[in-house]
Amino acid sequence: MERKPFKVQAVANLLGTTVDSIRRDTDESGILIQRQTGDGPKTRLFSIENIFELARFRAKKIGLTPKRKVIMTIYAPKGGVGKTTVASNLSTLFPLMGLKTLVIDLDFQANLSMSFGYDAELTHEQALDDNIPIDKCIDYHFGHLMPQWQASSTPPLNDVIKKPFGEFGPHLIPSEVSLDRLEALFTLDTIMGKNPETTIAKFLYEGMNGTNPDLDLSSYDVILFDAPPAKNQTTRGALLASDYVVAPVSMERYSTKSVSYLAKVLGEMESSLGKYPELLILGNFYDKTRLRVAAQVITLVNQYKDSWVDKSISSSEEFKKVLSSEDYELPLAVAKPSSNASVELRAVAQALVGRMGVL
Amino acid sequence: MNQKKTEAEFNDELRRKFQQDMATKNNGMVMTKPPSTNSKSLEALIEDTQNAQLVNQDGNNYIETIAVNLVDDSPWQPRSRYDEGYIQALGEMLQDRGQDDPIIVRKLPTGRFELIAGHRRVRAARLIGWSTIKAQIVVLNDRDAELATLVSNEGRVDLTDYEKGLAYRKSVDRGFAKNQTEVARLFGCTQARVSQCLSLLSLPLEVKDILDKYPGLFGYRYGVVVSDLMKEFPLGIDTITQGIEQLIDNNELNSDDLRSFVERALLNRSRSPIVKPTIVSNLQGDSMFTVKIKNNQIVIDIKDENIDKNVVNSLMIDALRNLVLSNQ
Repeated sequence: MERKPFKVQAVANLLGTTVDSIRRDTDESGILIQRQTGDGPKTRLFSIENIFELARFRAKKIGLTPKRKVIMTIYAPKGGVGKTTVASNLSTLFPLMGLKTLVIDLDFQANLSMSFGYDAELTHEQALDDNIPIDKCIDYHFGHLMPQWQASSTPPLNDVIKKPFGEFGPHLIPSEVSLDRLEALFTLDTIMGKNPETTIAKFLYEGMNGTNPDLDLSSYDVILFDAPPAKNQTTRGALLASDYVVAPVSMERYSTKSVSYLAKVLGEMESSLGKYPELLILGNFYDKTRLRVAAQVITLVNQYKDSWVDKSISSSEEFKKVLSSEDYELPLAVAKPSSNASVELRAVAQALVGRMGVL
Repeated sequence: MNQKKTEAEFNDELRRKFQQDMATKNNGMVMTKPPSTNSKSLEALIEDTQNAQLVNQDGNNYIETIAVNLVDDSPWQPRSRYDEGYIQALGEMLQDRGQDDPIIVRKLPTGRFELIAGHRRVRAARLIGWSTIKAQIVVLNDRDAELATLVSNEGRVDLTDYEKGLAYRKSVDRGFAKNQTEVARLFGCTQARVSQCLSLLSLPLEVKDILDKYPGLFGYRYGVVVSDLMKEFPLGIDTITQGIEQLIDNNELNSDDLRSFVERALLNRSRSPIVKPTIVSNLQGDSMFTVKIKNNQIVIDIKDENIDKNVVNSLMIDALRNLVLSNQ
């Protein structure tokens, strides 16, 4: 499937700069950009890979160095509040800000993996028959990297990680349906008296320290989990490993209540292990025109002043369009860089990066 | 005055009401606050869990009921024989009183359990048909398991002197201790006791073969007598082992019985029967020569002074030469 190329203006929007500096930086970087063919002006046509490479170049040029590395989980016990949408967009926007980003799909339904254009059910044979790159198939998921996974050997990290937008875009550990077996293996460990809850924390700690040369995650500035709505051991493990949990709330009563459940889970982690992620609440699908929404916002802000992220994402038809589109393989933030929703998403990404002290 | 409110005014008013309400009532829901203390770092979490696991190992507080058929003997167990009578008695005791102390095992990667302490209790449990047994599960590597097995079994009653000696020797061979003093500290006994038990290991192979089969046959005091006898009768090993083997059928015999048995057998045999000299006399009946065999010598006494010794000598030499030649 051919992706539509990006013109200079779109690239400038994505990188938050002017058309002029995009042109200048592109020439300076020496990145090879396609030009429009035909008789008209020979306009630059950026591929998505070009954009991320340029973003990395610009970050290097200004000497951008993250103040700290963070692990974050996008999670809310409530379904349908936009966790996967937030995860796919944030993990796309962070590399555009020059941060090396790894996003891990923990939901066996693999919606996040799909949002990057991977099909969990695509087999190698089918891919060959239909002339689809083999890379679009998902052979491994996060479970394969856990010591509990009963395989003869752990696959090399390079075989697990997907790079949907090239080396400089987000890196993805995808998911497919067999990931839910990891939960059964964790449960088995619990029955056997082992403590599987710190397995994910240990994996990330060793990975970010570079102590495990086979599973080296030390180059990433941001590691982001997209957790399923279930309150299970896998989710708990990811939360325990995380510095932050970003809880998207859609503006309705149940969603507000789910934040309270999450706060309780964090409280339990605090009292049993002393380690828990800081809660950040992100208003999603916020509809300013609805009165009840205002009530929810007030409730949340009152109760969770310190956790409230002061940028939120409005309700937008754009999300629905992207989700139902035939060529559903780009997160909205890059599919429609100039849409209002994308502008808001970029503001949220900026706010989070500031809040977490990364930049 | 019935002033009509616009939609916007109505909404604004409602919003103000909500804001007042919500500030105190949380929209009618219980809302839990997130934790407010500082979370520890990922590094601290990992360190703490690892320390907690160590405490678990040290504290040995992990007791479970496990299947008897999953329990294997330790390859390092020094005990080589089990007294069936004792196992039976132990089984009866388990049946009457239940199990007081858990056995100690470590978990193998295969999922089975390897005994550290409790070999006899497991045998007794099998004898009385128990399917499960209470066990303390410890986490030990091979080397620590070996040491734990050696030391724990030694500490328990009625390991024989010979088995103790073997365990002490092993602890040195395997580098757990460098000398007898260290062995004594390791096993919590005196150095003299270590020396006594080790002395059994320097007995000749023939004797140790018997001890391998019957480790409880005798203790170190008896062993001292055996090695004394070996010094007195360097060629008497067969007799000495015969004497020891009598113990197998009659355990009332003691080291004095062994000494008298060996002395009776070996001193008698070495006292050669009194050989009477052959007397060679002349026709008058006067003794001319007496000939006597003494070990490898033939001693000829010349009784008559008139006899020429040189003639007798050459006659003897001739006779011996003829003997040699005729044998060729």
